[in-house]
Order: sequence, then structure tokens, then C-alpha cells
Amino acid sequence: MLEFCLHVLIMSAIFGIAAVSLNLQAGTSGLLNFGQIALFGIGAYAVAILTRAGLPWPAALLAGMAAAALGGFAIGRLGRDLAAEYWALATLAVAELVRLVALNEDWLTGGPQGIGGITGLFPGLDGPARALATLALAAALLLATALTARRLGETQFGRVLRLMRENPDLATALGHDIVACKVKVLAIGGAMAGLAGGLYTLYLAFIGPDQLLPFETFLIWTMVVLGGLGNVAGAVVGALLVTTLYAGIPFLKDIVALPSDLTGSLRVFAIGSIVLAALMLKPQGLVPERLRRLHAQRP
Amino acid sequence: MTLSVHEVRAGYVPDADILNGLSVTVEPGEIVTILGPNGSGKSTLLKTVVGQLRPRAGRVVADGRDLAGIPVHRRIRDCGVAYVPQLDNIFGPLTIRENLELGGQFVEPAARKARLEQLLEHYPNLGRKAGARADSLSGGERQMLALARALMPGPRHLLLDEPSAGLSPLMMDELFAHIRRIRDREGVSVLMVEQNAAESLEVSDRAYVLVMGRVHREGTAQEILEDETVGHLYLGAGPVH
Ligand SMILES: Nc1ncnc2c1ncn2[C@@H]1O[C@H](COP(=O)(O)OP(=O)(O)O)[C@@H](O)[C@H]1O
Ligand SMILES: [Mg+2]
Repeated sequence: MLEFCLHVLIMSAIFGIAAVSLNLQAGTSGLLNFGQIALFGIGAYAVAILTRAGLPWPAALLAGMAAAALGGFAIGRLGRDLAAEYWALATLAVAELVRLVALNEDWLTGGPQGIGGITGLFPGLDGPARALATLALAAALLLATALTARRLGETQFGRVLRLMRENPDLATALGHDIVACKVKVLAIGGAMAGLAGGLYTLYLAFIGPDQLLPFETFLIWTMVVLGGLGNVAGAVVGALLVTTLYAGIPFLKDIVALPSDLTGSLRVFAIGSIVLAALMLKPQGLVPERLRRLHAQRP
Repeated sequence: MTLSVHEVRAGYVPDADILNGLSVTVEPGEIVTILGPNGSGKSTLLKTVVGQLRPRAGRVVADGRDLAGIPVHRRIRDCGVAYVPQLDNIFGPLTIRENLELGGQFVEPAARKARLEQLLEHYPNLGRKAGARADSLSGGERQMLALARALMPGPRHLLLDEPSAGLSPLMMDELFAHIRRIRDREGVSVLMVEQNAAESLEVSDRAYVLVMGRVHREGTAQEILEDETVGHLYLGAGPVH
């Protein structure tokens, strides 16, 4: 039970980082990135490939962040003249492209089997001590990420991002280059998502293409939306909630004798139900507070 | 220091021109008002000058530079063209000070700070509430904030879309007097779209009347004010005296 709790907390911290990253892009800046898992995946695979090649994990993690930042930069540059909706669809396509590369380029990514046997974090420790140390590391990195995102939101750059979200034409008329802002946010968000992906690989000592399915992006979106778009603390809480539920459902089968092939569908079903329930019961909680006030004042 | 629009055609959807070969000139330090019925293309004209719409034909020239090659976000910086749209022209969740800062991104930090303090002095109503959220301001104050923010980078040309919309008659007079003071103090030229013809013409040097994306009449403010057909058809001048 303790092991399970530690596992859930570690996963929550890792996905919390990915959720804070998505919140910066979608909540703060209004960029509907439906390919978040690609940035996570780039970090995850980069760390796997580099540690396998003998790089120590901190260096691999930094390189993974840099690779994912580059990925974010590319997604930001991609169709920079596209309308927001088409760009959002494009991000989904890019994420699938990244997954297909992971699935098919066996020489680099191990193909469908993925990359395993990675020397994980803290090989000197074992059992609960190792889990505790991992949790401490993941939690510290989550805190650093969340504080960075929050600080960023309070800078002039952060205010420009919010203006870009609400009124891009006005932002442009005031002299702000919104394409440059978009690219910058995606690079920063990419580095954060890459950090999450790298930690994921190091913690599980494995990464495979199934971790890059579009459903994973949906999970991260659920965390952000549940916590309330535009709210850093909310993204962290959302990550804890969704991760606990997602990891907890397989335990049901021990309690109510569920066939194990059902648990997969049940997970998807449960997450979907939560989103629906939240949308129906508390729709205002799903919209950033600032957006709401702004709309309320219009005639 | 002249802002001019030459034979411009522009529109929102292919093959449907809203501006049908329209020419407008604003000389340095002039206040020029654009009048015309709803849907005649007044706002579209301003959007074309700031670059939100690309002209399909014709040219927009500021101080001798063709704006076609200048990215939209560089027009304030490189050409001194500032724009205050009609709606959503302030950012409510931010404070008044933060709103002003958003307008001065490219001013040197020291100069920006000085400029901000100067504007807060020129606008005592805003100065008193500098730390308050912009959406706590009244309609008139919001318009003043939008104007002040447009002035942050020291523009040479000011484009205003219906600055008096929704203001009480008293506020309206104050606003127009204020626009004149801005012109005198800052030496900017002003191109403004207005519905309140009589009041805006009073502070203007010249005016154009647009109909269906074309210039229907142009002249000094006095000439337009006295033009009977213009008065009856487009100025909403009310019953004949
Ligand atoms: N964003 C837009 N997309 C399509 N058509 C538009 C848009 N904005 C304005 N129009 C059309 O362009 C014409 C001129 O509009 P506009 O320039 O706003 O008029 P005015 O400011 O003189 O009232 C109108 O027929 C209007 O319906
Ligand atoms: Mg208009």
C-alpha cells in the first residue's frame, strides 16, 4: 500500500509538471496544443537514448529538455499563419507523427518494444528508500516548474501572453510580435514537458510508443481543465486527482473481481465521466477566472 | 509626417471589396474625421492602415514609407502608427499601470518609466487609480486609458475608432477637447472614425464622408458641417432646423 501511494505521488508529480506546462500554453497563452504528449515523448526518448549511451541522468535530463524545447519551437513555427483551430489540429497530427517515428525507427527507438533496461534514478538505493528519493526529486522539480510558470505569468511577458490569449489583434497593434511569443511559450512549455517525459523514463526505466498515444494528451488536458485553466496550483491538483484515479482503477479488480481486460476501458470511461460531470456541474470552474470576468463585463 | 491611403481596395472575404479604391490623406498635426453610415467601411479603413487587413490594391504610406512591407507588429515601432480599436481596447484584468506598460514595450526602460509617470500626470483620473484593475474604470476613463496607452511609445499618427461611442454628452465634449489637446501637446496627427458628427467636426480640421467604401465627400470640417446633403443623409444631424 505504501509502495502504491509512493508510486501514485511520483506519477502525480511527473504529470503535474506536464500539466503545468500545458497550462502555460493553453491556460495562460490560449494555445490549444493537442500534441502535448509529443513534447513529453521527445524528452522521454531523448533521456532513454542518451542514458543508454552512457550519459549520466542529470545531463540526459537537461538534453531531453533541450530536445523537447526544440520540438516546441518547431511546433510553434509550424503553420504560424494558421488560424488557432487549424493549428490545434496540426499539433495533434504532429504528435501522431512523433509516435509513428518512435514505433517504426527501431534502430533509434527500439520500435514497438521501446527502450528498456535503463539505469534508473538512485541505483544505489533500493525499495522504499529509492521511491522516497525519487519522489523528493520529482516533487522538487514540480515545485521549481510551478514556481517558474507562476513567476513567468507575473512578468511583462506573461501579461503579453494573456493579452495575446484574449485579444491578439490588440496585442499586435501595441507592437507585440505574437508569433514570436507563441514560439517562445512552446519552447518553454516544451522544456517543461521534456523534463516530465525524462523523469518518467528514468523512474520506470522504460519508454515505449504506447506512452505517446493521443489518449495521453487527453489525460494531461483533463488534469488542466479539472484544475481550472490558467491556474498553476489547479494544474497540480488536477494531476494528483487524475493520476490517483487512473492508477487506482486497476485495484478495483482485486476488490470487485473485474475481468482485467475491462480495467483499461473502465479507466477511459471513468476519466471521461469526470470531465463530463465537471463540465455539467461546474462549467464556470473550467474557464479561467480572468476570462470570465472579462466576458461578464461585456454588454 | 504624412499618412496617406492611395486608391486602396480591401475586404474580408475573397472577391468582396469593402473599400473600393479609397484615398485619404492626413497631414502632419491634422485632425481628420471619417464619417459615414454604418457598414460603409470606416473601421475597415483603420484596420487596413494598421495592417489587420492587407490591401488588395493601392498603397498605405506613412512618412514616405510604403507600409506593405512592414509587419503588422512593427508598424507602431517603425512607423509610429498607433491604433485604438472601438471595442475591447483595454485589458480589464490588468491594472491601469500594467495596461500602460503594455503599450510601451519597445521604449527604453528608463524612458518608459518617465513617459508612464508623465502620462499619469496628464491623466489625473488614471493616476489616482494606477494600481486598480482597468475593468473597474468607467466608460470615459477606459477610453482615456486606451488613448494614454496608445501615446506611450510617442506615436506620430493616432488612429481612433469611434472614441466617443457610448459616452454621455458631457464626457463626449471632454473627450474631443482632450483629443485636440493631445494633438497640440504631442504633435501627432489624428485620423478618427466618428458617429457623433457635429461634435467631432468641431475639433477636426478636415473630414471625409464614406459611402460603400468610397469617398463620397471631403473637405474642411466647416464645409462638411455645412453641407446639407451630408448633414441629412449621413451625419444623423436630426430634424432640419
Ligand atoms: N471581420 C469581418 N468579416 C467580414 N465582414 C466584415 C468584418 N468586419 C466588417 N465586415 C463588413 O464590412 C463592412 C464594413 O464594415 P465596417 O468597416 O466595420 O463599417 P463601419 O465601421 O463603417 O460601420 C460591413 O458590411 C461589415 O459587415
Ligand atoms: Mg465601425
